[in-house]
Amino acid sequence: MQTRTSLNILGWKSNNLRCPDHSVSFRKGEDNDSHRITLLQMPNGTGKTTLWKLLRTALSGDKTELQEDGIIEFKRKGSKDDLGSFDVSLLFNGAMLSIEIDFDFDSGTVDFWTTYSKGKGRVQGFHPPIEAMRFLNNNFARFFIFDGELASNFLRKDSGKTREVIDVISQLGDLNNINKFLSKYYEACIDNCGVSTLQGFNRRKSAYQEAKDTLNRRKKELEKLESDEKFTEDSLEELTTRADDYIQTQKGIREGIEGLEKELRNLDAEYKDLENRALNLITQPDALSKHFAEGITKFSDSLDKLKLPENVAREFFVELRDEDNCICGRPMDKEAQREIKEQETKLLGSEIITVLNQLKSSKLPPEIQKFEDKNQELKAVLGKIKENDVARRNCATEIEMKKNTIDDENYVALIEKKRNLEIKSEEISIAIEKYRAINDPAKNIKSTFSIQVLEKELKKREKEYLKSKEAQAFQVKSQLTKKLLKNAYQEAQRTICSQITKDTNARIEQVMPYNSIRIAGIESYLHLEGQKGSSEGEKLSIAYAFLTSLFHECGYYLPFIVDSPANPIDLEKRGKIAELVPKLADQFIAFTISSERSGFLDALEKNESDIQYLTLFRNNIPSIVEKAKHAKAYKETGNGMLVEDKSFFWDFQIQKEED
Amino acid sequence: MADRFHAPVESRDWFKKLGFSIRMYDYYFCLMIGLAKKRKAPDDEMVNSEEFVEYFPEPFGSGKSKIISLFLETELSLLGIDLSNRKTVQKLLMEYITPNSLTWLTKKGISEMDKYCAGGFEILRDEFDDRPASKYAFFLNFERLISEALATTV
Repeated sequence: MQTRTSLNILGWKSNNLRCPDHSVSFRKGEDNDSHRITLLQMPNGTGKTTLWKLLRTALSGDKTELQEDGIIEFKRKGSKDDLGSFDVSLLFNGAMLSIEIDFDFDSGTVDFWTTYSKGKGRVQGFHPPIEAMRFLNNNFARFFIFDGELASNFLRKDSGKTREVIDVISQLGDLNNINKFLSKYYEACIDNCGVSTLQGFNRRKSAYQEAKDTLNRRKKELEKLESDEKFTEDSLEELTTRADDYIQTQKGIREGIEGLEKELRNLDAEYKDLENRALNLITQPDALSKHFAEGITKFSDSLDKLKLPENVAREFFVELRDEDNCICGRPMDKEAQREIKEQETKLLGSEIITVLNQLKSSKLPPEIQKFEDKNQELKAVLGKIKENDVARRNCATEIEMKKNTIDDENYVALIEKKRNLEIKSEEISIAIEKYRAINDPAKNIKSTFSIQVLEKELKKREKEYLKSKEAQAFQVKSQLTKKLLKNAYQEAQRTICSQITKDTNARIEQVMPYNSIRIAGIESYLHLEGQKGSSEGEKLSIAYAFLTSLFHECGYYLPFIVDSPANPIDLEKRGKIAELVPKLADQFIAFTISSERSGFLDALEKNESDIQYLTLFRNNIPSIVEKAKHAKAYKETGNGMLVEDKSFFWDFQIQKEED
Repeated sequence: MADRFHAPVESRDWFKKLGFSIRMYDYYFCLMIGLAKKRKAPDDEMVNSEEFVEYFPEPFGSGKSKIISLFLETELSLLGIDLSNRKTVQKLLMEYITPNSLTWLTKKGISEMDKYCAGGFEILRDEFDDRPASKYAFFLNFERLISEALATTV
């Protein structure tokens, strides 16, 4: 459904600019309805071109035209005031909209101010509502603030203006703009992501996947390491407890063994002592047995009884034989010597007597007690040895048993296992550190272990990949969209051109019923049927017919502002243009000069009753000023007069003012 | 050269495990058993003996008069000599005793004593199932054997 968009100019106000200071209103009475046709008569030199540029600037937001001319050039001649302004009041879709242009001639700057009744009040800058921005721009404004030169361009093959105006007014150009935007956006995406080819995208994808795979792998490895670490720590704790328990238990056993070994050493020492004592006793025959003791004593006693050895040794008789006389006093004759010699052989020698006396000394004392003591002592010692032997055996057995309970082999194995686990735990800790490190010395992603570094790298690569993915996806979508838009554009333009051709021809027929000039179609220009040339009047008529059809077709109800609408047209054809003008737009504002009235105003008045007649001129000709003061309505400013009066309008004859 | 004591050759190994410091211990223990049992080895068995020392080494030196007295008393008894017969006793003493030997024994005296030793070793060897492995065990059995022997012979 076509939406109606309407814009009316309610008036404008100029101050301290090249045109006379004035304030003009196109309103009918107090409400916001404006006159359908306003004729603003301004003699040449009054500042019409200035006013025209101000109006185009105010309705396009483009101050380039002012800046190109030089801001100071817009200052009223002779004025000492460095400030100037131009203020246009508009009615956009029923809401008040005001655009101000403020001049600062001292600094050479201009500023826009915008006031919109549905907006935020007066704001600096050119900020009409977004819907109005469609036509309040430099491209669009020149079609409703109509430049006469444009009419000729519509029919020139080389100008390409016709399609352009259709694109602008129908806003089909937006489709191209979308295409351009898509291209620019894609380029921005490419610039942003740095990838423009499929290979580049695939590289990004691979790089992202590589980082993702590596990170996942490292996370799994870390998980395994952490699990191993936990298991190792638990095992170590268990082994430590076992080792401690073992040491505690073994400590008791070892202490027991040490005690027993000490006891055994004592028993051994005791045994040695007993053995010596036993040996000492057992090597004494009288201690061995009572019978032995009795035998020894019996032998000794026997010798005593036998008076052995004798008191006189054999040596006494040997010496006696050599004496002259015997001890009895008788002379020692041969018979006596033979008898003594015979007897002396029966006697023992003195040396053997000594031996026998020593043997006799071994005789034990008469009291048996001594023997009993020795024998008892031997028996006691042997008894003690027996006890000692039993004790030593028991002690040794106990030591052996206790030693057997010492499982040193298992303990060594346990300690070895614990040591191995400690080494493993240390290795795991070192490995885990690599995964938990903030930095990583690795030169490529595959050799990187740090999870943080990998996550950071993955994030970066993911971002790059997504950007390139987005760009890739966008390229595909944008190509499709561009194709669709191009097709839509071509189809819409064809349809619009066909419809506008029909409408335009209908209007041309209305304006020029006796003229067979028609347009055959719309290409880059308005293609005329079977006719190669046309007059200026025909060109203007065709242009008006074309624009009117276009505005209506596109649902725009905009003011149509024309400078000298009838000036280039032959007198006989001005009437037809005048008939067309009321149909061009809801509001038609024409800048005219007195010479245009002929043939145009008559026809215009016949076709439209709501015409506003305005005359703006400098108040430097007293006779005119005086006459103006008798007009129906007038406003006088310091340097000009604005008269609203049909008669005055008709009678005004000045074509050019002399400054 | 002075006469030396002789002990059975086999007794060296038999007493080996007991590790007595001198061979005289082996000789003494055999002698005591021989005297207790009044058993002398015959002359032809004495060829299996070996000489080892020519005196009574310590700790036997100080008690040698008791050993000799016991030997003479046993010999007199075994020979059936009446201890009240001065002549026969003196004769035997003069045969067995000499001041010219460190052992106070004549060659004959040592030879006869060696026979008791050899006889005693035979008894020991018969009475012990195995060679004695410890002094303690040997002492106990030795003392028992002496007691049993004297209980029957006296």
